[in-house]
Amino acid sequence: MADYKQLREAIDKKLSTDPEFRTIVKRINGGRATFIDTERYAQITARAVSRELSAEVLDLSDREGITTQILRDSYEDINSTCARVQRAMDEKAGIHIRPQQEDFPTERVQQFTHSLVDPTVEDSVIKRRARAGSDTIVKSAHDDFIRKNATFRNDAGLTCYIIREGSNCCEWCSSVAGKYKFGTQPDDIFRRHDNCDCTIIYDGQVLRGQLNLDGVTRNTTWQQIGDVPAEYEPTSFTQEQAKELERSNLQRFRGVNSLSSKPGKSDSALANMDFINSSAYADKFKGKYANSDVENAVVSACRQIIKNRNGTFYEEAFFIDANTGKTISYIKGKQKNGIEMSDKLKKRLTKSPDNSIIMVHNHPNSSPFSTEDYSTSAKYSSLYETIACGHNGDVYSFRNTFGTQGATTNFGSEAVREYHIAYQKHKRDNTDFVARHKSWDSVSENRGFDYEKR
Amino acid sequence: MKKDKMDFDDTETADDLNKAFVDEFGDLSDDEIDELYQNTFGKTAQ
Repeated sequence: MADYKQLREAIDKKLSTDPEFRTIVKRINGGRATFIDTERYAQITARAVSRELSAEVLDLSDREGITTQILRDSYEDINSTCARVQRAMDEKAGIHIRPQQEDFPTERVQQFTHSLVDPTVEDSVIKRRARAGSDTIVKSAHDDFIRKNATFRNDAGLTCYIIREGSNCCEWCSSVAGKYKFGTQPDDIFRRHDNCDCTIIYDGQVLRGQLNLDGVTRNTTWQQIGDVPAEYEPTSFTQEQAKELERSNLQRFRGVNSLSSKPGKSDSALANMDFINSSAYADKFKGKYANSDVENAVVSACRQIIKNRNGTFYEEAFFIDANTGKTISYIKGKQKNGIEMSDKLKKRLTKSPDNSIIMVHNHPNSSPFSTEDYSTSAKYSSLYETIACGHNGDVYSFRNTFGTQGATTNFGSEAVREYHIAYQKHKRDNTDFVARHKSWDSVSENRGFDYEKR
Repeated sequence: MKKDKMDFDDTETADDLNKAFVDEFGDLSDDEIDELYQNTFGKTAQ
């Protein structure tokens, strides 16, 4: 039987060993954080809670009571963290408004915890509910803070904007993404589906003058600052439009820098080196690692590998220390489209501390991860992250895959089995690579590891 | 029998993924695939 203390310690350990989480905490403690950081803080906390709760839920001595306490801990922690960040931002702007904190959603949590003791469903359903439900409730702590304070500050005389940035999780989220002046946002701007990772923050630092007695005009004694128009308008494409746009964009490379006349080179593995070497590419890695040394090492590794293998189907790999950024090992693939590790390297991966190594390799055809990429990543607890950098600039990341494969089946592992199922579903309405990407999304959510396309 | 693969093997094609599915589950209809997806992931695709 597991108790509150054991579950609490497991969650805290998960958080304290996460390099990205530690980086965010340092920024918060240093007074340099923004709501983008607190949103990420909430997301990482949600994942740690949901994963550990799902793993232990069936063994909890008091399933409803312990779950409620764990959720209350996270809710209050995220609220107080947001309040700290708000105070630091206000101090810099000379604003003196106390951050508002939302009450714990007792009724909602009760409904959720009650669903975990439902005797009519199988254990696998209880575990899935535990993961998805706790993830959503913990993330809502951040959304509730944002909503409460945006409303309060708007009423207090500050010009507020609600900003929702999509995470490519679905069409609906993409349709509501944008920057809205407070009062003009869609009614369901704060709505989330299960496993939604959209970022919702507000920008409310601009004083617009005290409301006059007529309730309409504002006092111009304070400096008037003009309204900032919303800059972000998401554009949605149909599949046909997207293909046509891709074709016309790639057209400018044909015949200009063709490698197909050179032995061993192929245009289909041609890298977009202008983009790869740009700051926009480096931004894909910003804030994702323990420190700038590691971040720079990962970016450099991607650039070096792609430059070395530009126009070929050969792969290379760097194994990088996740705390210092130092290169531990470097491999050149001897066959096309793959990397083979030496026994010495495998032994090192087996013996190294948990979450201490980052593996970076290239995908010449810019495809998402293969099932072998996942299976190998999931074998080693020392692998903090596995990265596949496509020659077109796409970057794919696995984290926390160790131990998530499940039982071995006749055709691989349970996780790979789920991937095959998801692929058959997603390929119907998507291209091959998009279907593979969505399939990893489905499997990572179901099995509790982190997957990201940047 | 599983063929030898590299540790990080990226030779997998769409045909390979389709064949792997058929080898394990047989040739299922779209409705049967939907049901299998629903039973596996507990939701419809988004």
